[in-house]
Amino acid sequence: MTRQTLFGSQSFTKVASGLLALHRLVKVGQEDTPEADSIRDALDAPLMALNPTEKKRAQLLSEDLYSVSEPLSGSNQKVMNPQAQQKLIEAYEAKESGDWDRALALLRRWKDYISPELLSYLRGSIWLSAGNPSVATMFYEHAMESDPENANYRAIYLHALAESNPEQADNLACEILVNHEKNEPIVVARAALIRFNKLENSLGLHSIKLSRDLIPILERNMERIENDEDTMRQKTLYAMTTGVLGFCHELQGNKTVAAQYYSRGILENPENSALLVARGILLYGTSPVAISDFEQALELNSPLIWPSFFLAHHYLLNNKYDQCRTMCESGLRLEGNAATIGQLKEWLAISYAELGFSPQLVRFAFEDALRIDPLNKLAKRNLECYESFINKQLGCETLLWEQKPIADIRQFGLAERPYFWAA
Amino acid sequence: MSDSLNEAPKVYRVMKRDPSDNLPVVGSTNSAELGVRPSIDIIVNQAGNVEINAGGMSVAPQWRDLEFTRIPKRLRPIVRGAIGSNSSSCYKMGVGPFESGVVAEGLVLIPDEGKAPVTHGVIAPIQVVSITKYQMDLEKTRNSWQIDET
Repeated sequence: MTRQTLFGSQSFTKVASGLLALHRLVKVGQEDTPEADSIRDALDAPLMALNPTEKKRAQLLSEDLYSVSEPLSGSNQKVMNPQAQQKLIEAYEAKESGDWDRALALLRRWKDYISPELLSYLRGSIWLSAGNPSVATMFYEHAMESDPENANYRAIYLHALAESNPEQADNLACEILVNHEKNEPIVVARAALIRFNKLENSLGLHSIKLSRDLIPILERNMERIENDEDTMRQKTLYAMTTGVLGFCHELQGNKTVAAQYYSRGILENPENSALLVARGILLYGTSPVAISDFEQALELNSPLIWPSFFLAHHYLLNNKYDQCRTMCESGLRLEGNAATIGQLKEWLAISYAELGFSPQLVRFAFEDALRIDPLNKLAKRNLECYESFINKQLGCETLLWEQKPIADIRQFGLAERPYFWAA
Repeated sequence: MSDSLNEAPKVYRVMKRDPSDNLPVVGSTNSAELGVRPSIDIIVNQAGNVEINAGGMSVAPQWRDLEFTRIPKRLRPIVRGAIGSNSSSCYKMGVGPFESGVVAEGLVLIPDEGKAPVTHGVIAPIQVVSITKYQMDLEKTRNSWQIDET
């Protein structure tokens, strides 16, 4: 099955956005207003730009949105049977493999066998997975409104809203945190995460204050989670709460407490690679636990660059150049900012040099590092050192690389890492 | 090209319905009226004349070919996802095939270029005229439009 890498062009996204606006008007009986006419007029150009597949997808999206904007009154739900069950499993598998059109088509065909709120939840999950949080938000909102007692619907709605409308999500998160005792722990944790993500974008005094405010709320949330067996079984919730608490304590300068929270999370979720990476970065250079955390995160196929990055540095310092090279190469296949990628390329160049690769390849790797991050002065000096060595200049009989101290690398990781409990 | 108004091409368009006589509402403020939006549907030069450049009032050979965002939502059982206003209707005019040809006095159908089947075209002025004259020619067709949602 082929994964659809582009579920929609820019024009499709505009059309989807217009359809959401139209269906919101349908929901409140305003579809015959000048506002609705303006939206239809604005949709003409992007609709013309769609290819036939996208146009069909947009039309079916509009049909699906009627389940939200004009839900049928009365229950037509059929009793679940093995065939319908199988088709829903197929829909889930199609979503997981990125075949979103097929996943949506299967839901459309078998929708009568599932409740309206579950149908909206599943549709929201497909659209979120397909990279359109705005559409996902509308479906999740319907799931949440149809079943207000279901805290998971509220939490996933908040998550999608944070991507589609960060400002609105932040306002809602503030309201939830003010009344945190009245909200389910998963909703509180998600709200804290939203506030925290905002904080991540504005590190400074504000972030220290916010993290200080979040700590008692999240510690109370931990208490509520740990006192309830059912809630305690929600591994993601526990990981999210311990993760954010750990990070808040890091920002307060309480590194020991932060590490303890990460450890508590890991104890309950030994396979949560995000927690392992968080603890690894915090403890790098001060405890051997960091190295095993990164190794474990790699075994768990962490999508983050940090395990490879820190392990590459660790092997470099220990003159294990072949392992360093492997780590650099695996890290370079992942997403990272220029400074991170630049350092990996520099370490790759050093490994090549130490492993006796050709000078052309070593130079190319150094130059590549500098091209990506021209501010990497160490790479520049190490390249000069290498050139001197190659030319056998006086006083440069051996290769003496300049390396960043462990503490600097740890600090770099702490400062540069993006927040990664969001998923 | 059709050379007789008796064989004028059949064209469809969704337009707001005037409840007093069930005929389309004339106007140039949005694309659900009988008329064109200057500078959007057709280019108007500084002298106030329209430019002959394939712009004009959008039409389709079948109402099902119209954009689903225009087709009234009451027709959803036929066209999935239709989300047009229910105060609009699908109107038709003419009887002949959807080919280049005169559709009314001063007006010509220009189907889009491309592979068959063509699903869109415009009703354009036959020659360079003022935007006022073009709008008047379109308005004169009002009585020729009939609701057809079959």
